Amino acid sequence: MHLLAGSGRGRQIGSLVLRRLVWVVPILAFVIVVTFALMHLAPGNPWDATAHGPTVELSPTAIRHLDAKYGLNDPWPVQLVHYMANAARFDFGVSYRYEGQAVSHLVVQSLPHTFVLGVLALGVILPLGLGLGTAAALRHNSWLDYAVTGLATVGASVPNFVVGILLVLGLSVGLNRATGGAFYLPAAGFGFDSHLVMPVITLSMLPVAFIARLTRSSTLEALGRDHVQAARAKGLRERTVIVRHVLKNSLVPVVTTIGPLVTFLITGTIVVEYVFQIPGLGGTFVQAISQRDYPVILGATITYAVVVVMANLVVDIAYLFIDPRVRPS
Amino acid sequence: MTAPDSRLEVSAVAHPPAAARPWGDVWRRFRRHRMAVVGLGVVTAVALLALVAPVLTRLGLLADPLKLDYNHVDAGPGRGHFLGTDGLGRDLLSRTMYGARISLSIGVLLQVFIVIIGGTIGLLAGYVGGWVDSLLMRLTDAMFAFPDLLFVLVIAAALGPGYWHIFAAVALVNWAFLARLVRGEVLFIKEREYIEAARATGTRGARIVLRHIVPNSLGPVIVTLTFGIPAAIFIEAFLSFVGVGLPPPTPSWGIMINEGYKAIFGYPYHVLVPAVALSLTTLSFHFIGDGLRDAVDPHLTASAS
Amino acid sequence: MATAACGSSGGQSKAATGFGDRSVPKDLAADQTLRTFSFSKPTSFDPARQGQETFAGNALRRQYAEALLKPQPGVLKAADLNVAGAAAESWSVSGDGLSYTFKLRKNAKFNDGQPVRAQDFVYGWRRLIDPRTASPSEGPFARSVKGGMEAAALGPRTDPATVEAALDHLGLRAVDDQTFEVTLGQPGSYFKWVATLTAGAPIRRDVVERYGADQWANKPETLVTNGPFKVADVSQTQTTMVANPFYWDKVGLKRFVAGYGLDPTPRWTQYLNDQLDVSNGPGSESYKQALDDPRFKGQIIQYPELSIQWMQFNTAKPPFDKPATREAFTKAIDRNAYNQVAADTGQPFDTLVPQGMPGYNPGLGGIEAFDVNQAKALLQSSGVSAAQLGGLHILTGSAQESNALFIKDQLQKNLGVSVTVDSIGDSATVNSRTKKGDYNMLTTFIGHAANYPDPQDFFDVFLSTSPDNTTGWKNPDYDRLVTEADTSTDASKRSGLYDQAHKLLLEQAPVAFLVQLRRVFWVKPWVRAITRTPVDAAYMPGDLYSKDIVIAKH
Repeated sequence: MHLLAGSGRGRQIGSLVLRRLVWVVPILAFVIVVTFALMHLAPGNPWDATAHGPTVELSPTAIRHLDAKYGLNDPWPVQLVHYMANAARFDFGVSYRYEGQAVSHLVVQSLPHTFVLGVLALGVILPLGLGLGTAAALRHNSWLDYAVTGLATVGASVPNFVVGILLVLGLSVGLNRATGGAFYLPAAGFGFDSHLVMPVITLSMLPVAFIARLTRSSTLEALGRDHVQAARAKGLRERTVIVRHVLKNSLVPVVTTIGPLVTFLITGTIVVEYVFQIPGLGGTFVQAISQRDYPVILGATITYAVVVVMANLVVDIAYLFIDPRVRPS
Repeated sequence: MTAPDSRLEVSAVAHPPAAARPWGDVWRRFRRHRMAVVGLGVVTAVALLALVAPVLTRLGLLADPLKLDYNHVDAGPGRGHFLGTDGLGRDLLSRTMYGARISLSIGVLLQVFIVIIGGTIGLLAGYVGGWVDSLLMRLTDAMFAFPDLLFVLVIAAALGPGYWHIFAAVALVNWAFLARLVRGEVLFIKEREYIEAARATGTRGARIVLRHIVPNSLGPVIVTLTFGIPAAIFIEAFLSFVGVGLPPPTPSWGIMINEGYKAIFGYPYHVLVPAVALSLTTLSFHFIGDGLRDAVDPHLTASAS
Repeated sequence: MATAACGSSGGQSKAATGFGDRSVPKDLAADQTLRTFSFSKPTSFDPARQGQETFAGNALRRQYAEALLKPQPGVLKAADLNVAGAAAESWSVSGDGLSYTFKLRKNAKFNDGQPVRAQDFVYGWRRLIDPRTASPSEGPFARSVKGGMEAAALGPRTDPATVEAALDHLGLRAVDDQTFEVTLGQPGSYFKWVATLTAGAPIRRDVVERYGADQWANKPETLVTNGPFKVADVSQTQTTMVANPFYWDKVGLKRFVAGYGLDPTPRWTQYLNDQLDVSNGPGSESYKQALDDPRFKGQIIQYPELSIQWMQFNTAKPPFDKPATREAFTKAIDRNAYNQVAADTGQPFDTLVPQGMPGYNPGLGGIEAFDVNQAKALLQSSGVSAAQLGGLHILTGSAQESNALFIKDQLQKNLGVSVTVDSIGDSATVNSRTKKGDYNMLTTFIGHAANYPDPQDFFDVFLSTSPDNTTGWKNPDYDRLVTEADTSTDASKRSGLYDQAHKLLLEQAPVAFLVQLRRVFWVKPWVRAITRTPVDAAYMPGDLYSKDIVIAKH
């Protein structure tokens, strides 16, 4: 029986993975075409973007050489076809801005920063969100419940870049003043230390709030179900009832939100990296837009698309193991 | 509208829609939700302040938000400037009140755009079905599978700063969720008997849509849109903060936060004032959204209270 | 034949008043590391691929690459400044002013231990002028070296043989390993300053050919250069350089770290917490408070920068095709108030050449000076009334928005002209609109910053052939005067010609000069022996002689 179920699940996973992988190609093509068209709609070209400060004007001849070097004289559909042909061979070109540096290299260099942020945020979000939500439900209508509900509503609605700025205001500027400069949190940059505190709080605030609220209501719902009442009536220990009958069921709606959560975190890292000047993929992306570094914009966009698709695939596979009710169609 | 935010919110209401509800009931249940009422009060107050701002300026009671007062640069709160002035001597209270006009108008008007695009696509997909449905749903899948902020940023950079450009950027990217929702509602309602009955009596397609489907799917759509408002306010503020939203010197909260952030060491309240205004407004819309969701969907209220 | 011999540089700096105690301390810190900043990660470490000499994104180049000459240490007035030897120990110029001979130091070495040879300069300069390199720094080199303009103007369709032939004709020659000879197209007494630009640092042909023209500068291991420091690590957040063990002179500082970031706020928190030794303050409005804060007494170093902020007119489009209209607008702006409110750090200014530079002429100050009545009269004489001047726009980057808003206010108040400010955060949009001539007025943060203290550097900006001249203003008389002055070897004749050109420029007013900017730095008291020059980089005082800086025990 078990074996049969196992192989059935294996086949299910196989077909799911296959369907998704086939689906990746048109999604990427769509993303590339749209991004490419938009980029070329934007005024100016890569040589117009100055970093900042005094304008360093390239001579008209120099610009003609650069245009020729990077094939920017062709009409953009032609450039698009070239790009697609190269991308199909996993050649994503070189940056126009960072001369001679492969886009793949720039992406690989910046991705770890974003990844660390995301993983740490997940590590905060899941335990904290689930814990707070469950605790609030179990202590229904207590001060704890009210505190969690209140915090969750605030956390879910204050825009994350504002959270970031308020944190800088409090923990960098304020704390610095209060302690006479003895202590504060760094407002920018990246390091495996106090640098990560504010970005991770900023990134996890909304998801923690959201998951806490969701867990709370689903736990309350589960607590009210007949079989829980029955289990209690049978005289099972409260702890057993909660672990076996309540938590298991209350997790289901939470799991279904992990897919959107991953997408949300990715968007969130763009915001957080901008506010805290973290040189991750989001920072690279935003900078590339302003510099019209077309290959880097595309490279970052493709990376995001792949990460989102893969993350959703993993989540969907996880669904298969968790509960038949949330299986993807 | 970094709609993952609203997506997350609304994904919690992902269950079959209830039958048509009498709107009186909805209002009664909404009123019982204390925070929702508070939220409604705050939003009403913000809207009133936004509305009267130009009148007050004309009466000479409120400074012009764009007027530079070089004799009172970086002034603290006090007479003449209730909340003080910024680095160019512009009145912070006035800028904040005018900022409310921008945030609220963008927040609400954007929903109209999204309803038009998303609603039409959803209705079309749900009602016509067949290959139209598959095609449109694959399109929403593609939009959906992707962090919208990426596209919004690229579109905003491509179009340049501007009020209507923000609408274009955000609406082009954020119709997918509503389209899905409307399609689901349509499919669900399509199966119901009174539609069958209407069909049997020979009522035409367009009328069926207008008479039955639109009113019946209104509840969840309104909830979605309510959560869409703070999300839209957020995205305008963020785009303006990054510098690809509204063009300065427009008194947008995002621009004010951007300018205030630069002066955060000397004049922290420059950033605090718009940040609080922005947070309070989005918070209130969330309260309203919560209240509405519970009111429209008593099932959830019962289990959650 | 004029000869200048320059001994070892590196003089010890005196403790300048007001800058705190910057003398050499008795007790040194164990870790001789200077932690400073750069506005952004350098887009390339190839000396030929960076632009303006003192701009903070590029100026790290001065630490790891060395030119033939260098501005003298410790002379604070630009007009008194001369050059000192760097990779070259002496130089001479022929009587006709056309031929410069540089004698290289015997012990000048690259960071891999190989000696610096004249051939490396020939290759470096040739590569800089080669149009295929598309260098943003080629200008001064191409304009002065014989055959430079011809070679630099060859378009992308030219066949390689023609380009190589043109480059072979450049006036560059390695007489022997130690002697580098440059022949100019025309005499130019400013040329000694071109020889101080680090874009013209020696480049090793073997390295470039082995690792590739686009690649050799991307890895610290293959970035073979000759500066006092060598790049050790380039991360996403900072560039770390260490002392070059083969440098010809003593390098006191062991490590030089530059963290990237345009936003001053985070940098200021680092400075406050002793994680950064040099900062440019807490950002726009807050800096005034920090100037007065007793906590920073003796930490502030400020001095006028050799750069001018201006607003330019699009002279190709009405109404600014008429000099009278432009002049009316330039005279309608109160520079004093502008400086106090908008520019913040500087002094009101209304001519092209900054105070302190040779070519500075206070006698010309009246021409663009603020005068409401004259402005109104000029506007009237131009034949258009204020009411007819509707729909004018000031284009500005959002960082300069406050400047543009102030000007808008002034034009409204003083001329009765209402204009709109187009503030755009995206520099590519601003620059592409500027180049296309899609603007009426434009404000920029810096109109021009000196690459070196010779008036030629400023006057060449407004030549009709200059890529920096985006005003559309082309004046044959100005071109003639400036070219004649550039190529004149007679100092007094030269300055007379520049004065004439200056006057013409101010009367024609393609731009309204507004402010000479000021640099303000907060430097930790333990950073000692700072040797300043008037052409220091925008990211730190004394960057040209950072090798001499010592860190006191703290």
